[in-house]
Amino acid sequence: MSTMNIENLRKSFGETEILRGIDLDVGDGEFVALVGPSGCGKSTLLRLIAGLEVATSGRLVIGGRDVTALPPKERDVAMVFQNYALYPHMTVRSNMGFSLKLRGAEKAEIERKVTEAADVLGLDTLLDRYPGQLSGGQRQRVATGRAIVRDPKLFLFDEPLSNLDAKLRVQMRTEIKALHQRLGNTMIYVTHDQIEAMTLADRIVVMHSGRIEQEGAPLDLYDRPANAFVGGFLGSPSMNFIKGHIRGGSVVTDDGSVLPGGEAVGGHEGRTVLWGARPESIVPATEGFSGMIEVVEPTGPDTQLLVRVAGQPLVVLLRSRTPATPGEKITMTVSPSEIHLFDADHGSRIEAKP
Amino acid sequence: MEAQFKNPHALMLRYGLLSILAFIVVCPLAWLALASLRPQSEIFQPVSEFGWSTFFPSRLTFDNYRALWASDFPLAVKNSTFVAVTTVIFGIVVNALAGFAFAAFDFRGKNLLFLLVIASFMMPFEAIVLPLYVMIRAFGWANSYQALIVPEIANGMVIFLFRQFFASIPRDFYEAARVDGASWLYIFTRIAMPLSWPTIATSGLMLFLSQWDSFFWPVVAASNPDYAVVQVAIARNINFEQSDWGGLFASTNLAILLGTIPFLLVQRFYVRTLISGGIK
Ligand SMILES: Nc1ncnc2c1ncn2[C@@H]1O[C@H](COP(=O)(O)OP(=O)(O)OP(=O)(O)O)[C@@H](O)[C@H]1O
Ligand SMILES: [Mg+2]
Repeated sequence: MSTMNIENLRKSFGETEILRGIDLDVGDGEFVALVGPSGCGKSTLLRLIAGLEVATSGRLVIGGRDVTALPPKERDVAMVFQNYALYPHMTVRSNMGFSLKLRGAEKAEIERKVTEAADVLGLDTLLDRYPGQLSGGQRQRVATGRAIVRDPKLFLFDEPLSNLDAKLRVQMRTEIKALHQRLGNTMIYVTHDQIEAMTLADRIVVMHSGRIEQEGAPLDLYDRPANAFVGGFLGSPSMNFIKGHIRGGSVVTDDGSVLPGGEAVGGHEGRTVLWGARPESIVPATEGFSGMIEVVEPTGPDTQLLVRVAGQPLVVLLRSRTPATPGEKITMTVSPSEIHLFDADHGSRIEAKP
Repeated sequence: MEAQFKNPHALMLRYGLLSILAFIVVCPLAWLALASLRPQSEIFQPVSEFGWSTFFPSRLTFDNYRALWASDFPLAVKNSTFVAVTTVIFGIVVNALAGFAFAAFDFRGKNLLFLLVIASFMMPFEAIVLPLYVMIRAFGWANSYQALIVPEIANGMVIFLFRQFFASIPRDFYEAARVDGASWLYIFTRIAMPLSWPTIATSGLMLFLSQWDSFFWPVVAASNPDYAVVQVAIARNINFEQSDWGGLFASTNLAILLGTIPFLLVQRFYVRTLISGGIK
């Protein structure tokens, strides 16, 4: 059983508290993606789980065993580093067999497991090379291979694909997904790349300055962000926000523009809110709110517009090659179910009162 | 830069100056080497009228070397070699461990301690000779190999070099190994040390040369002829009444030649680390 439970975990470096009370339960075989802006503490959390850093307070349980105070080697976790950390003076074979050799496994067993992992990752012809003689993608595979030969309770990945080019990243993403389906181990995966998080994870955990903002299935988070931060963080280009007051089922901005209120306005008359709509939720219409097109960016299949509405820039993503010219007026609307309202002060999601 | 290389006059000037410099550096050494091959009587004879014969002896002889072989100089070479090699072996282990601790661990008083290490190699040796001698005497080590070796093992400069190198190894290496279950000693011997051979070469050389060239401390700590080292043996050729110039030149020459052997062996690494400041 390889579950993981974190209870009120805190970590300070000197005076600054970096992790401010993390609670997280990860089920057996689950793939959890940790996302959040740079510096929010993702790596720190991962390093605490690995035992590379000691928690200031809180509890960490892996596979039912309290490991809060145990050194890394007694936790049975494997970690894939962003820079791979392959030992430059060892061949691929010795790199991959390193942990087994440390544990005193027999030569034949090491050889068998390394060959097995190399087969899975397509590294069989590279086993006698040194890391310096490999391409970025191959190094990444070796780093992954070094983790899987151990068959650990828990896999930790810290932005493993961020050093690869876009194309290779997509390919390796698919490989990691296949690997997870095949091995079925519990994995925790830190990434900056939302698409990576959305496609790989069973569950996404969004962090922000040392706290968990929201966790849940990728599409749930996308469709129902618990606060403006999560709404703005997930999705690219990110969600548009415009401040206004709820008045008569609509959101009225300071300069008097009227935006559709959506499903959540009920019972909140007069409240100051952040009106949120994803760029792809906004569609041209004959009736609705209007704005001035400022920039037109065709991206191939889509067209991205920058429209000024109520004095604020609004990004609109059109799923077609709509002809549009800067300086033109455009009328748009958003389907009520795709409008998000957040409290203007603390950013939490507003739902309709019955 | 480019233009400078293309201009033939600048190039000529450059190589002209370099040649003069090289000549100035090599000249006394060449004179020393050739003088050691002269018969005793002829050594200073041609110096006053500077010319061809200032450098080139009329007759080559190995008499000076033969005499040296019969003296206690071979014992001094043996002593020096033993002392220097032992210092290198222990010195690398001890100083690398210390450097590793400074690079990899956080502990209380680390910065102060490191400052002391740096101060230790800024301090002139003469300043600590007396207290050191008192200590060695108290240990009962006067006139022994320990007296010559032990004080030279820990070396602030070498600790500094190792610390710089180990700190330049990405922490990820250490951490990956720790997650994989390695102890710190294992990480030190299997990951940190194998990566640091340029620093090992440099440090080994520094330790070797400092022992090979040491004179003052051996005179103080081990005056017994049984423990005479090379520099001490060379100095014995000089005294107030009359100096054995032939023996002096021959022994100096040998000391230089033997001292360059380790340098030639590891020269490739040595140059590289000094240039790159110990990184990779
Ligand atoms: N050893 C340390 N000493 C002091 N502060 C640290 C230490 N390690 C991390 N921090 C601080 O903790 C904060 C979180 O760092 P962390 O590396 O966990 O961020 P992250 O979410 O992984 O960011 P990124 O996405 O850029 O990798 C940062 O502000 C960082 O400066
Ligand atoms: Mg990070």
